[in-house]
Amino acid sequence: MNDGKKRSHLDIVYDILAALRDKKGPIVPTHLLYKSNLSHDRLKGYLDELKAKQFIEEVTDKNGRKRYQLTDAGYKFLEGFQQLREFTDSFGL
Amino acid sequence: MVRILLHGPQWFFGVDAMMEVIAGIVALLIVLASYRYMRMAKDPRYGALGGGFLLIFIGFVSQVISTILIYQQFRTSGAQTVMDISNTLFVGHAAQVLFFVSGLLVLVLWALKINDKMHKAFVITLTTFVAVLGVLNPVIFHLLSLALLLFLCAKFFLNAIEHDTVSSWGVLSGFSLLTLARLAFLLEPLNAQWYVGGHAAQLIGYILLLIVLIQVVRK
Repeated sequence: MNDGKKRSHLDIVYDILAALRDKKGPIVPTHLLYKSNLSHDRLKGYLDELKAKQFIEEVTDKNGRKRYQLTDAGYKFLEGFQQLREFTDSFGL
Repeated sequence: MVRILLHGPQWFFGVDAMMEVIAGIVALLIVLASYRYMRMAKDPRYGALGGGFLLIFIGFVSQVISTILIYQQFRTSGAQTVMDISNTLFVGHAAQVLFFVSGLLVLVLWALKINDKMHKAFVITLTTFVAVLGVLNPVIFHLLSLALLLFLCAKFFLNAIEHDTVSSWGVLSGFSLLTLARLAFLLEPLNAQWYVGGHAAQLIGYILLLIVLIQVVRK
């Protein structure tokens, strides 16, 4: 994904959402921590942002553990990500 | 004193408006793309880019409408002199200057990441004051636009160095041509052909931005 370059904010958002998509179901934060390669605090910041943008939603499993899953807006974001990234990089947004 | 003149060689009157229609359409497409990606990413930064180009688009529309009205005045009322059409010309020119400069200003505030309210107010006040002078004197308008475009070119140069993609260099090339176009418009009093050159550079600049948009959509 990052071709050896420092990941941008957009790349990290993509990595988190792609991890959720690939799992095809609710995912525990620990798994996201491993998949996104972020510190706990940074991941929490990203998850809060993604929740606020309604790309992901928090669900609780039968054991009372917090999990995350993609919303329709999250799937749409992933579908249009390549275009979005090209546009963002072109204009330096 | 208000100095509004018909620009360029006589054969070019009308052709400039056609070129501005094309440039305006490209500006509108950038607005629509920015809106689309703003909704997709839910990020207001895309709105700043779209807002800037929306104002530039309205500037083009004002200019083109005034040109069409001038044509009609010549045809229907038999206006023959610059004095006959000066009101339409002035209103169109004033709207174009104010919207165009406002658009560039929004882009510069975004590009330079000026978020502090006092800094923002200072830049907006100063630019508005110079823009009003620019309505009265086209040389001031072109100089102001040139300065704002140079800031944008610096931003897009740094961006192209950072991302090093065909599209990012395309955006830089497009804005460089828009900057060169302003320089050509400044030189128009020396030779009317500079006006033609300025419009050609501006059109090619917008076509480059269109190519970038096509490149984005093909991803």
